[in-house]
Amino acid sequence: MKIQYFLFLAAAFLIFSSSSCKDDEGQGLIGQTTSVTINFTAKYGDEPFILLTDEFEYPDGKMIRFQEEFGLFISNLELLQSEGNDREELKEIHYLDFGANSSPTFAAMPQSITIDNVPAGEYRGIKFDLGVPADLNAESPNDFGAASPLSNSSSYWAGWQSYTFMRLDGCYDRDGMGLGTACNIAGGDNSIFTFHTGGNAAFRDMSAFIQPITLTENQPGVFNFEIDVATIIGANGDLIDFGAKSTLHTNNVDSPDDLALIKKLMDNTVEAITIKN
Amino acid sequence: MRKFLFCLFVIPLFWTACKDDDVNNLPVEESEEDLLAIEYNPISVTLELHDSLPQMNIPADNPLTEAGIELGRYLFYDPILSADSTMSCNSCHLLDGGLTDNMAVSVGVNGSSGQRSSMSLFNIGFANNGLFWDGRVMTLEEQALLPIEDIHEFAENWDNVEVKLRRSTFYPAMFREAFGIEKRSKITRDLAVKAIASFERTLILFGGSVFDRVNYLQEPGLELPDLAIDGFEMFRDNVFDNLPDIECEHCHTRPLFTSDNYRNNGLDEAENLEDFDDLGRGGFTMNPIDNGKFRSPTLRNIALTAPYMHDGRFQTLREVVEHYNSGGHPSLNKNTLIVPLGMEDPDVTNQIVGGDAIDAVVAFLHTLTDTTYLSNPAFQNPFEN
Repeated sequence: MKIQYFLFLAAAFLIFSSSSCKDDEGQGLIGQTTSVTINFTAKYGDEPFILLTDEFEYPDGKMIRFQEEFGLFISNLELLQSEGNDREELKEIHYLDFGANSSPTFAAMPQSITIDNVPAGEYRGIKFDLGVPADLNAESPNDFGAASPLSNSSSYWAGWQSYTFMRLDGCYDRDGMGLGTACNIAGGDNSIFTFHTGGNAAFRDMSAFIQPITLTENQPGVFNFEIDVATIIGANGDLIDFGAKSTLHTNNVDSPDDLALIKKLMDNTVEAITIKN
Repeated sequence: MRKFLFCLFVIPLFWTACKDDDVNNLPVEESEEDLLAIEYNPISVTLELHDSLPQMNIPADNPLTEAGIELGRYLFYDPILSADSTMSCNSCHLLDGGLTDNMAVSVGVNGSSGQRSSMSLFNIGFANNGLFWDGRVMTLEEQALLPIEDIHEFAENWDNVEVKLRRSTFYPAMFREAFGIEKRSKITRDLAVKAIASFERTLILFGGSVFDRVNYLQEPGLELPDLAIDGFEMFRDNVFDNLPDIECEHCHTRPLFTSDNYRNNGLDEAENLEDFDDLGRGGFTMNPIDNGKFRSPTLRNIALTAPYMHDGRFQTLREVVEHYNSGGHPSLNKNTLIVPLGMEDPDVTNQIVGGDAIDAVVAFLHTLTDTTYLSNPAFQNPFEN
């Protein structure tokens, strides 16, 4: 009898222990954290986006070379919970800088954002916006510590009282005779474009990218995005008239012409960003 | 027995070796605890910055203290840091020269010429994207390490400097007051550069120029000269004006008048990205896209810091503006904003009273001159007081 009683207690203990473990695991997932990495790679159509040395064909048959800058602010990065409308905030603001894309090797290295201590769990996608939100855009570099990309005075244009949301510089072969090294000599045959967009009207609230993902302590999340610069400059739709001026420069949010171009570029950029997971 | 003999002879040998090392590094008269009698009570310093200025990034492991700044000032002016005791930091960063040496390229001990011009140190504590013309270091502490052992600058080595500082009659006490060290042998290069960096963070220039007094302090009744106003309108890209937009502020952003960025501003023609005599930033990043790029310097007190550019090729501000007006020399990575500006166009010149468009920009640059620092005792050479 005693033996039977002992076996009963032992079996009950094992069953109880087993149940406890299962409960612990369930609770543990909630308490776990991991990291999420978001990669951005720039392309021109199907080609690597390479500054200065590579030339790309525009749909009008003319060639384009991109100069020293391509970068953009993204903001309000968050994961979408699998159920309901709750979101997990990842990062408030980040500047994607493709200014080092000088070769296929550099171009293949994505601009990466890694966020640690993200709660594990089920998520249905990721969302971020394009540009600097109005509340942050009302500030100036003096208001931010050195660790913030918004402290960079070169990202702020005092004349607009706005951050520069996106920078894309390049050279367009206006006469079809080639770009050479002298694309930015005035009176020459090529057009320079200096697309620096900004102002609250340029901010774009982007749609979420639905991409279900399960994050556990041992399974960090990775999202891979591509930015197609050809789409930004309208290669898939309404072409930009690069030949209109020797220098095409978005330099004033109060200028109707400039504002129209700024809005067009930002709308195009929304379309240009695609998820590749 | 053999073990005993081994211990008897070998252990004292190690003991002697250690002692010898100390003797080599320290003055004979030092006692191990010779600094403890000096009070260590660091008083923290908070920089009082105008609202228009950015926040300064001060490393957590090097907070500003009165004693640290004062030690840094002594070290900044002390030729003890150079191999032949002829040069100090001040040799290339003279107060009268707007914290430059007014030379095309700086000259080190034994007359050895460097490759580049000395940069102004005003507001250098705000820099957050690298230092030197090529941005090769990120912090002032790292920066201060390098000139000591550069053959074209101090041509010394830090081991010697540490010995000289330890043997000094006054530095051990100052290091004690600044960092709480207990004995002379604790004086290190790391502490020395921390002190120098602390002093450099106090070299703030703001509020004394006509431009600041008009635009930031808004002194009643004070205005920029008309010619300078025209220059400022061109500088800052005011599209409501009929004057040309010369786009200076993309690289020389207010309030510091630098963007902390690196640009190829069209100084030299280059057939390809490898075709630069001085690779500039590219020599550090090893990315050819950065070849021929140099840091955009501050324009505050620019009228005091001739000659101009990283190699001092331009003697006057007028030459500088003429260069930009020309559109510079072609190269693949020349900044897209460096284009011919048309400042000589009669339609432009006719709008300006008192000079031409280039005169106007130069007049504006002169409104950034602030010499109030010359009478600031905190910036002065302590060895001349």
